[in-house]
Amino acid sequence: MPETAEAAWRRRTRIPVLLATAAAWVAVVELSAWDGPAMQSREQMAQMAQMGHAGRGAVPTVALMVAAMMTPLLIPAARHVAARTLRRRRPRAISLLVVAHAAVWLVGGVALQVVGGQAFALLGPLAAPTAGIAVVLVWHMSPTAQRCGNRHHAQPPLAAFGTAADLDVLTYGARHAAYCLGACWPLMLLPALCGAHQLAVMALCSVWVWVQAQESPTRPRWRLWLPARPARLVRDHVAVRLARAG
Amino acid sequence: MTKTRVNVYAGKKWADPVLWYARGVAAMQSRPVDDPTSWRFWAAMHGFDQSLWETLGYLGPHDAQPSRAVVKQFWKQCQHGSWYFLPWHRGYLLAFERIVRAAVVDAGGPAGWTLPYWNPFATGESKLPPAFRSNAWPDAGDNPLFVAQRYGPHSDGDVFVPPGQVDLGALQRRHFTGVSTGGSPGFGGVDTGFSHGGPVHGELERMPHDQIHVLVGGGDPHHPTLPGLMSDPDTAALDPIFWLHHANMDRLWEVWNKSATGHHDPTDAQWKNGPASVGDRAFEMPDPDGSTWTYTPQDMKSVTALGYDYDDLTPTGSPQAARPAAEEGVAPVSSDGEPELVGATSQPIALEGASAAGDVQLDRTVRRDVAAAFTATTAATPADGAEDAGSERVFLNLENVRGSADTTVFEVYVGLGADDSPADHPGLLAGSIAPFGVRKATQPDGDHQGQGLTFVLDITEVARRLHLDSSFDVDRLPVRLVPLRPVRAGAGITVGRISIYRQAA
Repeated sequence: MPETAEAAWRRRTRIPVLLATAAAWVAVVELSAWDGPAMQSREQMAQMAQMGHAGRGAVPTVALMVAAMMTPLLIPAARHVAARTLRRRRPRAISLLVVAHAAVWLVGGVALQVVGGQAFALLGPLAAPTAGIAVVLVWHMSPTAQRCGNRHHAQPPLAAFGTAADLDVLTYGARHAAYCLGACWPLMLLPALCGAHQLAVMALCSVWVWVQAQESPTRPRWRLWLPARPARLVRDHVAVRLARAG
Repeated sequence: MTKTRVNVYAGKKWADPVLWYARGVAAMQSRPVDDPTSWRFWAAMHGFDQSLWETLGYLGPHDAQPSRAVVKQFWKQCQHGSWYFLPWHRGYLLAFERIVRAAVVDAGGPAGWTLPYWNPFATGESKLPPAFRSNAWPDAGDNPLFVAQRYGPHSDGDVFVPPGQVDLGALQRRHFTGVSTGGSPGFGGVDTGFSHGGPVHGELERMPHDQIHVLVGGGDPHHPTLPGLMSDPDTAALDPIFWLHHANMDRLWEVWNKSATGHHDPTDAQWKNGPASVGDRAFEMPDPDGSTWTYTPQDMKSVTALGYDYDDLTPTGSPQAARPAAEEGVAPVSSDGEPELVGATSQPIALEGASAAGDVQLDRTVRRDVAAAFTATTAATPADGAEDAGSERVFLNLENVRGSADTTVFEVYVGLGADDSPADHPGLLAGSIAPFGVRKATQPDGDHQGQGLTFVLDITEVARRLHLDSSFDVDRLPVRLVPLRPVRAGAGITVGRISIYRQAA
């Protein structure tokens, strides 16, 4: 089956990003296996929260979490930067985009881990995830989350030459991450509230984030967000199966 | 039995196809907006903006709108900036034709009624068809084909399509689809999902489709932010001429398919099966019997299979002027090389007054590559605008074009000196832009997140001329935007960046 030039372009950007994501997940799983027992103790979580870190250090852990959960969201931004940049500047521009994106997420991610650790210690293994789920649901129904999600799709003009080009890409990366953080922060917080189930919850939250990022922008208002595209795919699949069976 | 769509100029002013169309429109216009066979319901399927409709008088406090589920299923469905532009509109026209035909039959008209088309490229037919020009018609009451909010290219009520402002260059494109990354978006548009307003329009969509929309609609001379109905995608289908314009676009798709053996529609599963195949909205239309018709682009490929044709398949409606594309053999649907940025402006440009200008800074290395490619192919300059397979192509991109109204048509000149008059240098005209959809694309929570539209002009011939004149081998290439009529201060029309791309064909 032939592939359109646009599809080929999308694939060329997507593959390295997905490989990086997969590598991050392998590292997260390895780390989790090593850290597992430490994650199960309420007292230890409290202690970690008080120390301001999770596991062997908040920054590397959060960096891996961010890489595993949020890297795929960079695909459209990386495509935009690559398409609107001089070919000889592309590696530099993409690097700057990743640095800016990661920097914002690291700051936000560390803060969320600390808050999550403290909340877990305070509320315990049942109330903490329950409260986290409530925050996730309320936030994702809110117009503010939708507004952030809409802005997260923005693709601004970028300067082509010199320092202006670097600054534009840095600004774009930081803004992209900030809106992403604004839309998704409860999903980053929830794993930290789930103690021993952190890894499984993180995987679920990642799927939620990736699915939600596929949705088109819409007018911000209070609404029950449902994964419309996957729901339609499942519905159509079931309809086809039923039609065949009938 | 095959039904034939005919040129609206083929008969007298109120020939049967036009008169029965008017009667069908009148019947639809008499129905409430929540009736799936009503005029306004069908217009809202193309696009809907409650505030704009209310301002223009098409929605009042006593209008009961359809349920949220019905709105979600049918309204705001038009495909723009997408390779679904042509197939979605073909289905939309067919379904609309069935609704009108049912109304025509109810009124005692012919069961074989078909929608006429308006081809403003035909000699002597650039003016709005006569039956649409005034409020008088053979039956009693107001002429349903007349709308006051149709202002024309100079926004003075004289509605016509200036021949110099439109062209059929898109018909020369070899590939149906292209890219959104600076090069050709292709004849039919870029590979997208469901796209109720993508940022980069396909070549036929940009010219002449968008152009005719805005030239016909114009803007309200007394309220500069208010568009003529045709100028804005959210109101365009309220104007009865919309449907004849789109019948002509549909005809041009058939012209393109028939004009060269290398021209063919995409074979990709995602195009054929439509956006629903990947979980997006399906293309759905109400039928006169109350059922819903769901279709895919694959269903729209053959007009013969769909049971209709056109009385004329020459591009301009005059065989002498027809310019068939060169035989190119069987070309893949999309195989142009990856576009590469050559240079760009450093600051946004605000379009106000009689003109605006900016300098595109060119990258020395890439610019020399372009010049070398031109030098190598100088002897092979394509004749008559036909696309030259295997040669270098150059594109001008007007990126992130934003504005509060879609009504400003402007020409783009490349390489024009600061003291030069555009009229003296027609060879430096890169093309004309009608920002159809720019108001919507500027809304921060719309489909474009306020980032505006990007227009792509093929400037290969202009760049080649500049190269031969040694004017392309410069660090900065001036670009000037010249609106058809001066743009008022505060109109808010800005171009985020002007860039130049090269692409191997």
